[in-house]
Amino acid sequence: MPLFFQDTPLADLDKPPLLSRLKQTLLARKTVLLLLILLMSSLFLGSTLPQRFNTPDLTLARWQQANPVLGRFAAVLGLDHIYTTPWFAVLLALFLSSLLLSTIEQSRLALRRTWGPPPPAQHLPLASSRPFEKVLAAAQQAGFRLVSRVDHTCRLVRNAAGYWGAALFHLGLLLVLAGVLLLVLTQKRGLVHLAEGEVFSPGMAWTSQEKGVLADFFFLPEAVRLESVRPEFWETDDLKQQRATVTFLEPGTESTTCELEINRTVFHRNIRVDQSASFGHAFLVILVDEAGRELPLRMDLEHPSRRDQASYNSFEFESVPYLVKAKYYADASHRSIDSGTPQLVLRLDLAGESAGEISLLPGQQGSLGPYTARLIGTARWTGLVFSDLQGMGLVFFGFFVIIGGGVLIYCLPPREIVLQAAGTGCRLAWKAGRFAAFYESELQGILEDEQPGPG
Amino acid sequence: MNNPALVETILHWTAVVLYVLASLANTTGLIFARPRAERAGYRLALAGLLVHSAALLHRWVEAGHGPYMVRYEVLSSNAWMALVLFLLFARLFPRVRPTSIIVFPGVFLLLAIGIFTNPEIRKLPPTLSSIWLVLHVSFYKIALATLLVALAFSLFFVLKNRFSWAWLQRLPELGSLDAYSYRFAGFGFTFWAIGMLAGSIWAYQSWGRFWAWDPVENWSLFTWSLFGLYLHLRRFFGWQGEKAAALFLFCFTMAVLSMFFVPLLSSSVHSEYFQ
Ligand code: HEM
Repeated sequence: MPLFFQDTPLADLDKPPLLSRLKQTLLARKTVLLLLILLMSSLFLGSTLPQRFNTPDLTLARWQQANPVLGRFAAVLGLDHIYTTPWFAVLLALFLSSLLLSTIEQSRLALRRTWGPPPPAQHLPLASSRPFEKVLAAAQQAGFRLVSRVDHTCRLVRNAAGYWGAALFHLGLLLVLAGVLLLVLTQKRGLVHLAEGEVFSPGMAWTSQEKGVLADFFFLPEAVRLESVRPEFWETDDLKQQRATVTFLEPGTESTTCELEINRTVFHRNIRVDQSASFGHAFLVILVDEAGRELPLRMDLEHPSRRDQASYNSFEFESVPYLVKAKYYADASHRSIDSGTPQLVLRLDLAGESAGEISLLPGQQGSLGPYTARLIGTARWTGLVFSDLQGMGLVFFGFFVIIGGGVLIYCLPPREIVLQAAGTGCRLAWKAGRFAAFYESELQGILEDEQPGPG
Repeated sequence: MNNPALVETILHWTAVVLYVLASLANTTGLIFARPRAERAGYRLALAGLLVHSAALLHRWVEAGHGPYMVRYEVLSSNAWMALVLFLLFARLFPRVRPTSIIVFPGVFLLLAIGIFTNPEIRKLPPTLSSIWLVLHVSFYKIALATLLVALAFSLFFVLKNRFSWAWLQRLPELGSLDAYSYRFAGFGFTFWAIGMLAGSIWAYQSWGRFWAWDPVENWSLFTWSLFGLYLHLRRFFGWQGEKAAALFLFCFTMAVLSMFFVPLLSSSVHSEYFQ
């Protein structure tokens, strides 16, 4: 393989020696390999060991009990919250620095390869008796572009865009990582379950909340009211679409109404609102005890997945000494997945013993253990997700850049020729950035039938 | 015949039989240098592809959505995509043709395994009706097909390097086999990235988050980085030949595991939909 020159490293004349050494170390192929392996190992551990941010406390405690040695080791190294440990931050910082320096370096190299002059006088390994001008014309005809000419030496490049592939690819990686970092630090997301007619005001507790390391509590800019919930089903009872209408109640101005549905993104004053796939019925039951006291209970249950199947949940209330077990059918006759008459079955449970059971339709009442129970109303509820995210644009843009880079690297491998007049013929060298085995015959074509002999 | 499930089963099985015959004819043709048998192999594969396309189209009409909901549809459409891409590659780069010895059996195996899973039609949940999902799934299929070709080249390299069987001598020389496996791995790596991108855009659209640290996502990212490592080792540490082929085999195994087995084992949004 006629490799005619090694790319000489770009000079760092303007840098003090220590900085230059640091840069060299960060860019050394072994450092890069080590960083890559360490990062992948963290990812591997992060997806095999339970992580605090996505594991309920109880599950985590159980895991620690079941794996005492690994559990202690994990606690010391923070393996149960890998992505927020100091060592991971250091690793990420090193990785990012290396990537940044390398991207700059790769871009400078790509720039030089695309437009640069021929390398300083070197021994060109191939000789041809074909005249210089003819070879030059043939190369240009074969798609090589004359990039530079110094005296009698020319440099020709084919698929120069391919030289930018790696630089773009790594730039894309950088953009994605920068976006992710911004997101992880500043994101605010809140999920709230609301029933029709209910208002969620800024500062109220979220059903669940996620926030970035540097983010504060997520306050909505104004109160929001859920107006209606409208699920739609396939004939198989599977959910077809879930829609809701919400109103933002802006004090002093007109309220804004938004229509939500799954997979439709709505923005309101830079806050993103998403319709979650969870919904069901909220049941309002009044228990009247033997002393005549009224105890209002609200129970939100997930919508059943089939018309003949129930959904279940259990509730504990301060005012009731029993565990209240609830069962919910979408339709009292079990013939429809979506009707105006949902059926609620309640059972009171004390230490595993049943103390009473009742089935209720809206408006009905009856006795339930020591109480009289009345189902005074139902309303649909649904989950709404609000998020305030910075950095998504960078992540997606970076992804496109990565792909552009990948396509350039593997679809447009660049080749170049350095050509020098020598007597009546010429000397030359040919090089392919990648996959040289595929393109070796290209040179033969340019030199026509003449076999290039070793010089 | 007005039983749609029966029509589809018959079409699918016919395709399997045609693919098995295609594999036999093609392998015979390649190993014993019988160009006629090889040509017959391609014709049978094309006939299989036609029947297979009819089966998929029929399914599409019956289910009302593309073949990416249940495992049965996913495997069948993976097999279809692998064959279509292979035929395309074989036209663009004729030297790819011998990899059919791996690709054809791979196709019928995928399809046959698919037929043994539950073919019940499931309606599309609303989160799945997105063009990004279609792109997400399609690009993973394209990545798989490309990696399958790279796998074949890696295996050819190892075989040709160790044995002097006559049919191996008709393959491209060792340097080209190695370069092909490198390049197709690079293609697969790029398509995988596109698949991940489309998936994260879809997740962002459906759930307001682009990455949920779901096991399937994590394994996919891990596998992709592994391919990145493989490409770095080739580029910087001069890995080539058998050493590179062995690493590729490991990467490919990880790719298959993370695509087909992780969704089965763990609880994730993916397993909910793709079982
Ligand atoms: C510390 C971080 C990294 C550094 C310093 C780095 C550096 C480099 C350099 C200098 C090249 C050669 C460019 C050229 O051919 O002109 C390269 C190639 C490449 N890198 Fe990286 N890289 C890093 C991380 C990554 C990561 C995380 C991935 C993907 C998972 C990756 C994937 C690639 C690929 C696919 C190539 C092209 C390989 C080929 O020639 O086929 N790199 N890298």
